[in-house]
Amino acid sequence: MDIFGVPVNIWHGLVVEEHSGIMVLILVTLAVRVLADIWYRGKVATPRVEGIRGASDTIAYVGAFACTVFLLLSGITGYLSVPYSSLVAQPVYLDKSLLALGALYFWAVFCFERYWFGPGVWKQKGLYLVYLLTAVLGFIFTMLAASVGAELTLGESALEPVYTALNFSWYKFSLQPVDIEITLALVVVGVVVALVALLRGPKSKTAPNKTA
Amino acid sequence: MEVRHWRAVIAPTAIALIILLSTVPFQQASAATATVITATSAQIPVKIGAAYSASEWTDTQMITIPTAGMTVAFKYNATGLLFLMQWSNGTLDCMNQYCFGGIEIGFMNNTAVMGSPITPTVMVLLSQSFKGGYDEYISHGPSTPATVESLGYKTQSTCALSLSGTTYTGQCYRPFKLSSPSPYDPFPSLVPGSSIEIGFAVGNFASPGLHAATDMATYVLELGPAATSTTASSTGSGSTTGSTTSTTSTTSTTTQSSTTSTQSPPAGPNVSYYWYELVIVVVGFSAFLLIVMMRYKRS
Repeated sequence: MDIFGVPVNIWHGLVVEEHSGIMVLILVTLAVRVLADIWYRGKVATPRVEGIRGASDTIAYVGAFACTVFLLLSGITGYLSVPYSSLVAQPVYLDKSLLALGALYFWAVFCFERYWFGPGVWKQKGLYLVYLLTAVLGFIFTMLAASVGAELTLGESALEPVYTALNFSWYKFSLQPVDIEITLALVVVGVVVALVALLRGPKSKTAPNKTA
Repeated sequence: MEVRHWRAVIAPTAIALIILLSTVPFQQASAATATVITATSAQIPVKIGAAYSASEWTDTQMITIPTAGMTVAFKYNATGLLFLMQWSNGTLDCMNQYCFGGIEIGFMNNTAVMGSPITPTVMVLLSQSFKGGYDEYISHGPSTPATVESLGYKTQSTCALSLSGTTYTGQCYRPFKLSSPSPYDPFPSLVPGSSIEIGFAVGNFASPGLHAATDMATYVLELGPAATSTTASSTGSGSTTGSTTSTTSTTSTTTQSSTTSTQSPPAGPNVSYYWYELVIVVVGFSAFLLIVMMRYKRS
């Protein structure tokens, strides 16, 4: 299938490159932000440091939005590259679909959190951790989806040593009920912990939004 | 505990819905105009290692591929695909012991001749110049294909090649359940009712650029519906050490046989499990996020 005369798998490769590159940028800026916060914890930050904080926040926000858009495009082009009959017949394709959709979800949530709470997302410890947790989950899902993609197109990925050490292959891995039960248990634990924190903690806090 | 805005509920729900709805299948239009070759459920077993017998292929249709100058037939049993290829010796493309003939298979997303770096194809080629008479290759585009062994994978097919007069006859058995296959192998997706792309080629290794081959957009191979019940015994046997030509004797053979009373498609992954997993992750984290939103007011 061609789009504007270009095979759809070429488009897929292009948009995959885009969201992969953007994701690296997001992680670098988040790392800069976290390191700056750790370094200046309890100290008065200079205007330059405040500038770096603000810039990293903006870059991560805008980058996450772009990452979400390109993930959506890569999902569509990827789907058009592989017919549904093939997609559902091979575990490796289902693994990739699940990981890509997970990545799309977490980056969309990352954008939403920043939109909803504003720059104040950095001012509350709990929000700060949830924001970073969302980015880390988005990164993990994207990294694994990209790894499966590399396995499909190149026959190997940068995570090959890890797979070899763990005797793991995406071609042989297929979700089983026990995997779903483990996920469900983790989700329930997370929700319960959040509920306990909500009920035991003080009433609603306002996330300050003066500056990033 | 309060939710200050109705959007606090709507927004994460909308995100979750968008993610889930984005998985609704699109109609794939690829290869819509390709000729469909249907592999029928085998009624007569084929002994791959034994001499070619036309009577073993009377339960399926012989198809002529004009571009490659080849006649082919496909059928399948409970464990794998059986295919027959016949082509002429003495043509411009096939004139000496370096003559080859075979098929090229790929996923439905590939329309490039000999595959591409992104969508490589798998070739099953037969030639008297090969040790054993056959081998499998991975083709990454218009360059010399690499044997699957050179890339760390295994040949899946078991074939036999014979030359009778001026006609080459190749018979192959390719199991559905593969052992150390390349990731470009479309066979795991080949279940009754599904299709893969297929191409045909006859050429000469002494003249790499000289061959007659179809592209990958002209034909698709579809597995016909599985027989619900049959008492036929399906036997596939393969020569492992020598080719069976008219001038050389057959060497030792190994035999794979399977007897079954029911033909069922190879088991695939359970798609429902993936849906459950995705729903749990999306709904679970959305619930977690909602609680966080109740804890911290919007700034």
